[in-house]
Amino acid sequence: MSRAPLPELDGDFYTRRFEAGPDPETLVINMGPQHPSTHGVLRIVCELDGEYIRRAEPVLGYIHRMHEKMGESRPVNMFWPNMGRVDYLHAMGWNHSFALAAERLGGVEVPERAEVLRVIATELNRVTSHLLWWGAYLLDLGAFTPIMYAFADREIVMDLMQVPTGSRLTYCYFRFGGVSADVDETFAGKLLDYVKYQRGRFPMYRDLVTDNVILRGRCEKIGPIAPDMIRRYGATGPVARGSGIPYDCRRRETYSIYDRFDFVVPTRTEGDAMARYLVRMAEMEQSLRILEQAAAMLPKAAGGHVNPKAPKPNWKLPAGEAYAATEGARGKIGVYLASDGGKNPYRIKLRAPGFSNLSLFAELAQGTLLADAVSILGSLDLVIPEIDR
Amino acid sequence: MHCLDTVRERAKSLWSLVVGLRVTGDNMLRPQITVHYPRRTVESLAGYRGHVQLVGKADNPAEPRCICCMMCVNSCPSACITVQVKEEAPAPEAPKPRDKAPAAPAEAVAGTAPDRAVEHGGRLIPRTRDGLVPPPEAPAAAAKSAARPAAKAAGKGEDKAGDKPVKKAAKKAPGIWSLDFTLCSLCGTCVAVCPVDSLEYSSNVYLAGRDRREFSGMDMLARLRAGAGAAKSGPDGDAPAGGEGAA
Amino acid sequence: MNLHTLAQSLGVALPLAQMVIGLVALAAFVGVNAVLLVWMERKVAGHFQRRPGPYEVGPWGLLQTVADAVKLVGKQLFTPPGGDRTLFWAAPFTAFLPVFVMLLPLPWGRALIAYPLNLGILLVLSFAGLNVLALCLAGWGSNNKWALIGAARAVAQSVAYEIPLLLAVLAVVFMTGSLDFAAIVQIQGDMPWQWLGATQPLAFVIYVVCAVAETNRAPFDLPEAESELTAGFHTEYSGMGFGLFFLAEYANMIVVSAVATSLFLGGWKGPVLPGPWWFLLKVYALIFLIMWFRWTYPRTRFDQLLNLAWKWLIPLALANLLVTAVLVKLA
Repeated sequence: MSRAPLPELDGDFYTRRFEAGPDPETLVINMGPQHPSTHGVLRIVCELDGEYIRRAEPVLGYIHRMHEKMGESRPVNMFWPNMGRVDYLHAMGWNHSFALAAERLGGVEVPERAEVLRVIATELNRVTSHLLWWGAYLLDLGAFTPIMYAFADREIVMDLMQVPTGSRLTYCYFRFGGVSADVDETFAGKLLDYVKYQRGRFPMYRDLVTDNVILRGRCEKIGPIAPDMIRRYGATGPVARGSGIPYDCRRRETYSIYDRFDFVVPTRTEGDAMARYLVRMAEMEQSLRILEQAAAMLPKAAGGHVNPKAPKPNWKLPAGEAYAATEGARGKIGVYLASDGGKNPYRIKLRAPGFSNLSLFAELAQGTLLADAVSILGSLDLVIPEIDR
Repeated sequence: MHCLDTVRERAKSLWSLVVGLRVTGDNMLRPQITVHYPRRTVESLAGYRGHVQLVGKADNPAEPRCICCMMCVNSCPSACITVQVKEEAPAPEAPKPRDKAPAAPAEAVAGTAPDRAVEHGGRLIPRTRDGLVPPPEAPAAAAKSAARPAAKAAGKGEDKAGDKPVKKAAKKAPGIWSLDFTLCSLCGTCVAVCPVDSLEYSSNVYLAGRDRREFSGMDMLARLRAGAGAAKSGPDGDAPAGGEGAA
Repeated sequence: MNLHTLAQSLGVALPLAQMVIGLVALAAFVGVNAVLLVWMERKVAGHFQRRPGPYEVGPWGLLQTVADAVKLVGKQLFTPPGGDRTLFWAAPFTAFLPVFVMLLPLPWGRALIAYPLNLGILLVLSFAGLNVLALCLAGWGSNNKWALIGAARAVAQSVAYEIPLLLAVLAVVFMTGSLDFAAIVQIQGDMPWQWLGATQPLAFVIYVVCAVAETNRAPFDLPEAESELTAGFHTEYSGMGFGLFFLAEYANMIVVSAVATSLFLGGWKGPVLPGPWWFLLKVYALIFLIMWFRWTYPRTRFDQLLNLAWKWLIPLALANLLVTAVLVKLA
C-alpha cells in the first residue's frame, strides 16, 4: 500500500509519529504492553484503517532489566544467573554463548563429557522452547488445547533436567570449563525414553494442528519475508531459514562438538508464517536426532563434567575481547566479552536474536490485517525479555 | 478437471476438521495428567533444589561445618548470605566496632533481616558489591587451597573436612549464618565453592510462609539446630540437617 | 383444579396465564442451565486438555459457577468514563432478555409448550437478531477502541450468518409446510432415520455452522477474540455486567440447540424415555458438540469467516433450498 509521506511534527517520538496523525479516518491503537498475545511486555502502536494496518511500530523497553550493566558490575562468574534469565525459554543457549566467549578469552578447555552434556542440555532446551512456542502460537490463534499438550511434554523434560541442573526453567547449568554437575548412569536411558515419547507425539500434533484447514488459512501466505529483508535486518534462526537462507550457527560457525553430529538444517523457501512453523517442527525432530546420538556418546565420554583446572570463583578475565555465537531457538545468540584485566568485565554485550527478528515487523506489518499481525508476531517467536535484556 | 481438484481439496480440508475432533476426543478419554494436590503429591522430586542450608558435623549435628571462610558470601551473585564469626572470648584490645558483634546474633536469631555487615580481618565492614574479595592472610590461603581438594577427595561426612586445622590460631565458627532467600537466584555457586561441604540444598518443597520477612532473613543456624534436635527425637516437618547426601 | 379454572378464578385469559407460567419456568430452566453449562464447559475443556477442571467447590466442582457468580456479584460496578452510561448498561440486558422470548414456542414435550404459536419459527428468527444489538451497544458504550473493533466485527459476522441460517430453516419449512415447531416435531419419528436431519443433512450442517457463528463461539469467536482484542466487546465489563454476557452466551447456546433439536433431530420424540428427557438429551449432545468445536479449532480470520458465509454457505443453502423445493413440488 503506497502512502503519502507523513508530515513532520514537533515533539518526542510518539508525538512526532502518532499523536496528531495525518488521517482522521484511521484509528491509533496500542497492542500491549498488556496484551494476551504479545509474548511479554511489548507495545506495538498501530495505525489502523478499518482492519488494515497502515503503520505498526514496536515500542521496547518495558522489561529492560539492565543485564549488560550487571555484567559490568560483578565478577564474570556471578553472571550465570543472568544468563539463565535473559531468555528463559532457551537459557542453555545463552549459557553456552557466554561460556564459549569467556573460555575463548581465558583459554579454558572443556573436556569431552562436558561437551556432550552441554549439547544434550542445549538441544533439550531447544525442544522445550519450540514446544512452548507452538502452544503459545496456537493460543494466539485461538486454539486453547495444544498448549496444554505441549506443556505436558515439557514437564517430562523439566523433571529430567531438574536432576543435574536443579532448575526447571532458568537454567544456569554451565560453568567455565564444563557444566556444574554430572549426570548418573540412568540419565541416558531416560533421555532415550523421552526421545521416543516425543517422536510419538508429533503425529498427533500434525493431525490436530498442522493439517488443520483453519490453521493453514491463518498461516499460509501470511507475513511473507523476502530474503532481502532478512539480510537487511539481520534476522536469524527459523525466521531466516523459513525464507530460504540456510544459516545455522551450528554448521556455519561450528562450535562445541556439533561437527560430530549427523543432523539436517531444515529450510523452506516460502517465507510465510507456515514456512516458519514447519521449520520449527522439523527442527524439533532434528534436535531429537542429536539427542539420540548424544545419549549414545554419553557412556563413553570421558573427562568429567568440568575441567579440573577450571577457573576459580571470582576469576578475573585476562585483558582482551572475545565474541561467541551459538544457535539458539530464536536465532543467533551472540555474547561479546571485553575485559581490561580487572575484577569485573569491562563490557558484556548480548546480541539477542529476537531484537533483529522484531525489527522487521514494522516494515512487514504494513498493509496486513490486524489478525494477521498477531499471526506474524507469533510466527517470529519473540521473547520480549530477551529483546529488552 | 480443475473443479474436481478443488472439490477434492475441499473434501480433504473438511476431513482435517474431523480428524482434529478425533484427536481431542481421544485425549478426553485418556487419564488426566494433573496431580490432584494436596490429596496426592508429586513423585518425581529428585534433584529438587530448595534453599541452601547448613550441614552439621558428623559428631555434632547441631554445629555446622562452616569455617567462616566467606567463600560463599563472596561468590554469591545476589549477595544474599550473611556470615559473622562467633566471638568466643572478647579481645580487650579490639576496636570499637567489634564490641557490637556479640549483640548482633540476638537480633539476627529473632528473624529480622540482619544488617549487611561482615566480619573481615578483625573488624566489621559494610557489605558492598565491589571489593568483596577479602585478601586472605597468606597462611590461611594456603591452608584453604590445601583444604579444598582434600575435603573434596575425602568426600562428605568426614570429620576431617569439618575439623581441618587451619594455620590461623582460632577455629572459626559462625555466630550468624543468614540467608536472604528473597534475593537468592538458586545458582548453586555457594554449595559448589564451600571448601568443607558445609552447604546443601534443602528438599523442602512445601516451603511457604505468610510474611516476606520469614524469608528475607532465614536463620540457618537455628534451622540446623532444630533439625538436629528433631533428628534425635524423630523425623519432623522440615528437612533434618544432613538429610541429603551427608553422612 | 387445572390451569383453565385457575386462570378463570384469577380473571386472566388462559393464554396469558399459560405464557406467564411458561416464562417463569423457562427463566428458572435457563438460569439453572446456564450455571450448569458453565460448569460443563469447564469440565469438558479440562478433560480435552487432560486435566480435571474444577473439582474443589462442591462435588465434582458443581458449585464452582455459583461461587464465581457470588464473586462477580460482589464486584464493583464500574462504568468506563466517557462512555455512554445508558447504552453500556443496556447491553447486558439486551443480550439476555431475547432468550426467554425465543424459548417460548419450542416443544419440550408432547404438550409442554410455553406458548404454542403457529409462527414459531418466525418469532425465533426475528429475535435472534437482537443479539447483535447488544454487542453494538456494548462496543459503543465502552468508549474503548478494542471494544469498538469487536462490535464492528460482530455486526458483520451476525448479518452474514443469519442468511444461511434462515435458508437452512426454510428448507425444513418447505418440507413440512408449517412454521409451527410442534407440527414440525410431530411430523418426525422416533428413530434417527425418521428425523428431518436425515432427509436434510446439508441443511443441518449449515444450521449448526451458522448457530456456532451466531452465538460467537469458536472457531467464529472474533468479537470476543481474547488473544487479539484483549476481550473484544466486553473488555470494559467487570462484575455482573460481564456475568450477564457470559450467561447470555450459554443461554443463546441452549436456544440454538433447542431449535436445531426441534427442527432436525426429532424434538422430544424417542423410544422408551418420556419426551422432555429426549429433548434435553439431544440439546445437551448438540451443546457438547459445540463445545468440542471450541476446544479443538483455532479461530478463523475475519475475512475468511465472511468468505465462508457469503461464498460457501449461502450458495449451498440456496442450492439445497432449490432442490428441496423441486422435490417437494414433484412429490
